[in-house]
Amino acid sequence: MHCTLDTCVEGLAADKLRNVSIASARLLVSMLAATLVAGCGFGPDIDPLVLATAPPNPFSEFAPNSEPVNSISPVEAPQDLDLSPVSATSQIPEFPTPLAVLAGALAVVTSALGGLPLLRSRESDRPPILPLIFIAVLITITTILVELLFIAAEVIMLLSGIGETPAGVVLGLMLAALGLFLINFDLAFVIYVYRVSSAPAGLEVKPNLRFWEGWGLAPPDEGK
Amino acid sequence: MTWVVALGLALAVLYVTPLRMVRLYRKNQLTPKSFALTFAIGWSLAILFFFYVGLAETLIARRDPLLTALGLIVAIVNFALGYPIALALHKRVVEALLKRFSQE
Repeated sequence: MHCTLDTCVEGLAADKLRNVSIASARLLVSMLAATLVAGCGFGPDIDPLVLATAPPNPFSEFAPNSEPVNSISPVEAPQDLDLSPVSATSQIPEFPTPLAVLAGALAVVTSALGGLPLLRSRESDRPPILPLIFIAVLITITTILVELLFIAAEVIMLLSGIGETPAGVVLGLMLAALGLFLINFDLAFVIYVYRVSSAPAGLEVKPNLRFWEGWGLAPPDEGK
Repeated sequence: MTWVVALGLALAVLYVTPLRMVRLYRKNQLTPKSFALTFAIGWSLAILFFFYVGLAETLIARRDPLLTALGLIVAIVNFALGYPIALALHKRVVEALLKRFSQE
């Protein structure tokens, strides 16, 4: 086939234009196909991702229902707990104040009466026995009242659980030691009354609180 | 040495007395009478131990009937005074205290 220069140039240009058009069409088709293939990954038939959770409680029948809580009723709302030592001490039931006042008043009266035997004209004079016995009875009542307060304190400690701790045991022993002091005071006065009644005339008799000296019955070196 | 033994015995009695009361309370057996009796016995027993064990050597040396009987007299007087006082204290104070503990 023969052609002129003009017709050959036009034919070559037309072929080139056709090739470009075909290439563009193929590119467009391949892009559309790629888009369609990629779009298939987000199809609605794929199951959503489910995270594994803990197995159900086998004792759930006995367990309380754990439902989401949006609000707490004022009754169930936790109170602001004051855990200071002062607040913890105030939780212990109140100590009997009238009884403590009565014991204190009796102690004051007894100590005031205890000074009466010292009102003597001469140092060798003996105080009368009957007032001494009366004072001894008053001292006994006072010591019993104070000891009962100690006992009440120990009972409170034991019932509140403090008495079962090591510190509580030490406190209990300290209260028992204070009770021993009361017994010592009571017995010292009774022995003093006995010494006043039995000592020979002219011999000065003074109260003695030292139990290791037998409250004055034994010589000082004998008791040790 | 006798004073150490006397102090130890009296201390033990005074320490055990409230323990005994609490044990009776937990068994639901602490009545006003049992409270007063426990206190009076414990207190009098501590006095007896303190007096007779502590003064043992002096009592043997002196052989004085009045002094020998004095410890017993003091213990009896303390028992006689301690029982009604403890009874009154239980009704007025201890009972209310124990009620508070039973409510808690």
